[in-house]
Amino acid sequence: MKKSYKIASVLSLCFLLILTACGGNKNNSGSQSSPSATPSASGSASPSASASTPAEKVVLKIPHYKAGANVGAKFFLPQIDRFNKKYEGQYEIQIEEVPDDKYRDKIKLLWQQKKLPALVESGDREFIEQLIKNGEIYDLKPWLDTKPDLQKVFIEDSVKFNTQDGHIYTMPLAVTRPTGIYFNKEMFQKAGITKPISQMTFEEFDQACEALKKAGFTPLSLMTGENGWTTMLLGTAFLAGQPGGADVLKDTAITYDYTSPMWVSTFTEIQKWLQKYSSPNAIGAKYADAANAFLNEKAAMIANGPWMVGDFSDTTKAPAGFDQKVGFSLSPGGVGIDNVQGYSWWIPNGLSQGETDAALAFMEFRMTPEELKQWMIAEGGFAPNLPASDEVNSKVSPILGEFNKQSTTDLKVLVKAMQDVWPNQIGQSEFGRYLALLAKGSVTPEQFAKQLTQKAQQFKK
Amino acid sequence: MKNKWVKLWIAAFLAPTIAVLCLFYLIPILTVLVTGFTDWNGMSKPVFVGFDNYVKLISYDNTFLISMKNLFLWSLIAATAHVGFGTLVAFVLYKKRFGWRLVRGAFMIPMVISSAAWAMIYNLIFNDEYGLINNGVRKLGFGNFHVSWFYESPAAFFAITLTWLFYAVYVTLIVYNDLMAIPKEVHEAALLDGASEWQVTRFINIPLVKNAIATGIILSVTARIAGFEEVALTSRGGPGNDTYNITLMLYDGIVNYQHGYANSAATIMILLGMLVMVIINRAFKMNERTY
Repeated sequence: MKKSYKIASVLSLCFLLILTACGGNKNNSGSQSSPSATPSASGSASPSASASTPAEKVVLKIPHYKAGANVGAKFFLPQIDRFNKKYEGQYEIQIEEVPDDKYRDKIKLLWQQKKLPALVESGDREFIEQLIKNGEIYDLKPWLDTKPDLQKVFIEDSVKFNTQDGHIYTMPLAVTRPTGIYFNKEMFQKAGITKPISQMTFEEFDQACEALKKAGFTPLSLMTGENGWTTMLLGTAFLAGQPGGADVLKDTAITYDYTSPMWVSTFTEIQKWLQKYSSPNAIGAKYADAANAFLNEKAAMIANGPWMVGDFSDTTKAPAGFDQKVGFSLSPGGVGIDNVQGYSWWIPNGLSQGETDAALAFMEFRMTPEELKQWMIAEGGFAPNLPASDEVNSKVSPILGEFNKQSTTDLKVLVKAMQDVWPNQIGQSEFGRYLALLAKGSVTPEQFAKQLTQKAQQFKK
Repeated sequence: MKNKWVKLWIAAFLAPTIAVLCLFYLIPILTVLVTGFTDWNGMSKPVFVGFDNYVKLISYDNTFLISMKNLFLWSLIAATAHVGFGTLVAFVLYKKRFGWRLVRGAFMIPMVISSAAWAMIYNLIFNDEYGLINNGVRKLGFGNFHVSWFYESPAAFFAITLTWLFYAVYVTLIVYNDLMAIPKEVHEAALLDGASEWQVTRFINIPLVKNAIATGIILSVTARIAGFEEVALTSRGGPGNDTYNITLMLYDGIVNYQHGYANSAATIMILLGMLVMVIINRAFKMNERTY
């Protein structure tokens, strides 16, 4: 019996040790300035970590999705290196890789654990607005007021959106990267299409699709899987041309009713594109399938943003020399699609002074003209309030050059994408789910509009 | 005195288990039950709203009804075809025919693959353009065969069913273990009395493993109630809401910051799970001794 007691005691001890080990380190905050930052009840690091030792290097551990194989890592990680080099011995940012689709969940999880990192990029609108309401986000306005040069590069609409009751909680944007349409120049030539897409009306766009069909090509690379991204972008361009459409797409408010004629017309057009101008596998196609169809010359056009340009010369994704065949145009009617009215980088309240300073330094660093230029060279886009740069124009790829040129010359209206004015449930889930039924003709555009409206109303606050 | 010490030791040993049970099960379940009656976005203070979340969940549109219909059909398939297949494999393995070890090993492989990975594999198998099924049919001469299995009705329901239908390893393991536990004397006595192999299976083996089969049914039906990945990672409940289930309703609540609504869905899941256990328990008289 004594032996049993001994074994039991050892087992109990082991159990306690395991429990203790599982408990982890309470102070494993996203940030660690050398006097450790203690999380507060508000979900952010407490100011109790004093700034009494400013001489010590402040290290910010930031979870982020632009790491590893993510397409954004190519620019973002070297940018972090440049920041670390510039502030060597003073500040250091360390990136912890988080998968793209898990980033927002990770931030929410860290918030619940009261371990928010010192720098966060964007997030769900409702989440950020709740944090603002709770007073958990650092007000950038007093700091920005001391940086007039920085403010000069901001896009006005972005500043307006981010200003709430005189406070600015997330960093306004300086660069816009409107999406448009990539097209296969060879296919267009064979179909005899010469007019630039951005100068077409949607009637002329239809005629171009017919011409491509007659020449034996599938005109559009559309998709109904995931969030129906490429289909949604083209639909947005059509909606922007409808009476009242551009106003809805420029509004900062979320739209919950899609039964008005402009929406129904848009869904009718989408149904026509899916049934007449896309390949049969568009139903259920995900972004990878849609991109693959365009990259492998199975479709003549795809709606997308400048981040896709790198894929055209990537021989693991497209045939060698494919990039020479690709042209870019804004959507018919000169419509550019980008959301400058969104939340960007923010800092949680209650960090130590050192951590806040480090986070602000990074915010400022990434907005310097030099960094903005490098970003535009790497990923495209243009900064309306930054003087035109020959360096940028000479270094970007021809497609991005065309993109930049079109964005300044042919742009007639810049709107947000439909999914940016929809509640999250519609944009990320319902639209794609009902799109397959619309494509199959199982529901009419009116029924489709009604279904989406009903779903949008379900979670309306 | 000795008794007192024994009781103390028993209590000491039970304490960690009870603590873990409370920490990881009881408290979360109670939280779910209570917050199901509140308006709560997960960040603010919950506000009591009575049965509003349940009313909204059940009667807002036809999604709940469709989810229940799907659950009923999937449970029926799980309790019959799925458990039946797992049981059949167990009986075949029990006979130890040629190659039974290889079959057993191969049948266990899916155990090491997560259901999320399975869903991704089936996404590829059922892909219209390069999927195994459609390309196979097209090779047979039906060049224009195009079915988007997870995005068309009623194909989506069957495609999702196929992602788990033959994945019945745990049923096989439970039944196989019960079969192995049957005393040899029982079989020998039956054979001496002139029973055929089929009669031994029908009148001895099956009745003696009925509790294992019942456990298999409980496990597979409750897995359908809690099934998320196989739907969320394939059809996402579509097309429309044809393949919706209650876990997706819960998920919708979470992503829309309506945790109270989500927890009312979770409460219904818990109640359904308990109901299944009670029904199967009684139907199979699981509390009675088999031999």
